[in-house]
Amino acid sequence: VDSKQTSQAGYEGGAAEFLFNQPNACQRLSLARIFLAVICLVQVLFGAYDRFYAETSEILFSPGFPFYFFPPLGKGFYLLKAVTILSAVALGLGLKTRSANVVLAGSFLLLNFYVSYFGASTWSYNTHLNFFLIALCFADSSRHYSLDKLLNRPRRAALRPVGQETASFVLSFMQIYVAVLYLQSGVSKLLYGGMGWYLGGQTLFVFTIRGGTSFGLYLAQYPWVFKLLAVGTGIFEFGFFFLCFYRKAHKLLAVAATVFHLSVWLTMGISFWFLWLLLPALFWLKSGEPTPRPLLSRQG
Amino acid sequence: MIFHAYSRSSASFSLCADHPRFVNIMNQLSQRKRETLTALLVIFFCAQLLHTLFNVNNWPFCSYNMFNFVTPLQTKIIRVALHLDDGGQQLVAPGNILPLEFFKANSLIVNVYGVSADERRKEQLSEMILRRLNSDPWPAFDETYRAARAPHGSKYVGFDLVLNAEDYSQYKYGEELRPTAQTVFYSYRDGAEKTGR
Repeated sequence: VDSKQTSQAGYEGGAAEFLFNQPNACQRLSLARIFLAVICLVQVLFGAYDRFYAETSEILFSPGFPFYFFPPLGKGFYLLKAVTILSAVALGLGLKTRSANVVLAGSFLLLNFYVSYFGASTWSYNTHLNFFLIALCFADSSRHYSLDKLLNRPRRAALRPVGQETASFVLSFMQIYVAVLYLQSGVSKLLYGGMGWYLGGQTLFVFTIRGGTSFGLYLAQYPWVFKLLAVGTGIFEFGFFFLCFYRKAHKLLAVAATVFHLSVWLTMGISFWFLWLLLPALFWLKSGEPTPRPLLSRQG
Repeated sequence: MIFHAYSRSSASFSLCADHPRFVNIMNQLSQRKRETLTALLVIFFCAQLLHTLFNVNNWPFCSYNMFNFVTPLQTKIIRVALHLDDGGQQLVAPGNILPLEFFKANSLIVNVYGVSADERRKEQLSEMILRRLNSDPWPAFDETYRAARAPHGSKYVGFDLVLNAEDYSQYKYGEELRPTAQTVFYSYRDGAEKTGR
């Protein structure tokens, strides 16, 4: 019966099933919304969005793609930060969710753009947050875990379609982004470091000594450990991408990614927390009621 | 075939209009929308992968090329020798003098003090760095290092940017890895002479 209904909805497994029929997509997306908001909030409050950017904008800011004519903000930087913080709080609570989502997506995009063009190479490894926030604007993430739902607020939203398929697509986009991110990281090492990167472990060894943790410095007595870590990195980065498309492997991937990032954190002191804290919502949780299937058949 | 048109006969609608799952039926995206979304998805990720293939970051697209090179065991790194008003000296990382992620701090030092020839900008930034370290040092958070802190009663009066040659094959646990050579490429003294080398 289930396969028949799936066929009627037009999924029939494969890519369409993966993209448009994620189980409990609305619920998981709502959870992802909270994690996204909290990550943005913590980053902007405690991370490297320092007043340095307000004080040095006149001498260091040099805009580039895609906002070439963006002016140095000076103290306006604080205003942009304030808007980002307030909208992140609102989005996390699910208060005026749609509006908060749009404001946070816009303000955090500008904020991240701004800090990426300060006299340095445009290195920014948290732009997945920008893409995820923009994608989230197109789905309704207020249906679970939100004040809007608690207060029965979204009158207008209630008239809109639930958007199960849209929610599923947005969730899939986020999952694929994470998988492609690891693939990119793996391919980049293979292209520019060669197999020697994975077989030698030298880069991990050197960077652990340079800026690693006390535990990492202890491990550096045994360079062979870093060879194992490098091989493990390769298996993880390529394996994650291919296994991402098998839903049954998703829980395993969430655990593997957490173990991977914790290992890097414990040795090299690089946490990448702003990525893997999203993984439970994206890859682990599928509990709750199954997605309702459409009743209509082609025969009517 | 991946995509199928979704059949909606009027008879079906009249039969199911009151059913609680009716809303869900209305949610089905059209075949064209599904195909468009899938195409956009493919284009987006192709753009991401192209950045990786060409090893470039073009914000907000990212190549995720961190640590993608084999670091030699004998290599050079930038360190900052901070000078205190009591004549003392501290050797720290660029991340300890700039409230940025450590990798951005390194890049900024290279671009402003290494690549750029704008002396006025170097002095302005140097002045800001010292003022900030002396007045409002910041705590560590994730990839942002803790600010260097002068001993109680002292303050920083200048710094040298140093290129240290280090040999990591000489690493011994518990011992400081001493540089095999040092080259100062920029010096700044508060209110005194500034030297670019």
